Amino acid sequence: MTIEPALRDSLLAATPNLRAFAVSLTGSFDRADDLVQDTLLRALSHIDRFERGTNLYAWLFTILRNLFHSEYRKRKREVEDVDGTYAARLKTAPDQGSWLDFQDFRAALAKLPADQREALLLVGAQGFSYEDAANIMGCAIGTVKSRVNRARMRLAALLSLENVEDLGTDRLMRAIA
Amino acid sequence: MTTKKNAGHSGLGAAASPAQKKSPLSPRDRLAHVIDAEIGKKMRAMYDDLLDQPIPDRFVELLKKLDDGRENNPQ
Repeated sequence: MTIEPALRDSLLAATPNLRAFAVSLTGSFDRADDLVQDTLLRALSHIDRFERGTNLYAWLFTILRNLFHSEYRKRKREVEDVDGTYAARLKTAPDQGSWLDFQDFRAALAKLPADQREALLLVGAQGFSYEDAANIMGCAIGTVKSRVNRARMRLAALLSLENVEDLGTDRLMRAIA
Repeated sequence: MTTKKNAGHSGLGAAASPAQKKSPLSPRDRLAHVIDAEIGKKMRAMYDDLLDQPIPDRFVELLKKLDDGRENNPQ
């Protein structure tokens, strides 16, 4: 299998992003790394289908996201309570650097439905446009927007951001002023 | 092709940027913007921390094999 060096370098450059997305999506480094490995192998075996000059990140994220969902469907047959298993995995996640620093946020993220979680991550963390996110998720742009909004509202409630004290008096005054 | 670390933040952070629409927002909407900005900040802090982690060797090896293949089977 051979690909041009520039594309190989781009794949390597995209790998941390794929991994960050996969870890955030699954809550597990082990599962994320399996997902990233499968994504890279799939990408390499279908590299001829990648249209050079188009958005490589969007193409790779589409592959990863589809693999995640086909795995999810397989697992769903085995385990009914998918959200419960996600939460359980989080608790047993290995201490990997400052991963623990974001425990509150991760715990809240874990409570979101998978479609809201991935929409929020694609747009809010990875910085894809709504249009790219819609292509990646195979849905309408309006659906992405609504998922992101619901995710934000749910996260705000879970993180108690409506609580005045959490925002600090200054910021609130500026917000209300 | 995107070579930047992130594909560009057009999402949550943008909602709270100073360059907001001219139409005056209600206090409730402005509070919503502050909340969105807080969530965006927390999420990107978590995400950026993940981005900064070194790539596991298995992925570097996987992609490096392509180089070897290229040398052995030049096309």
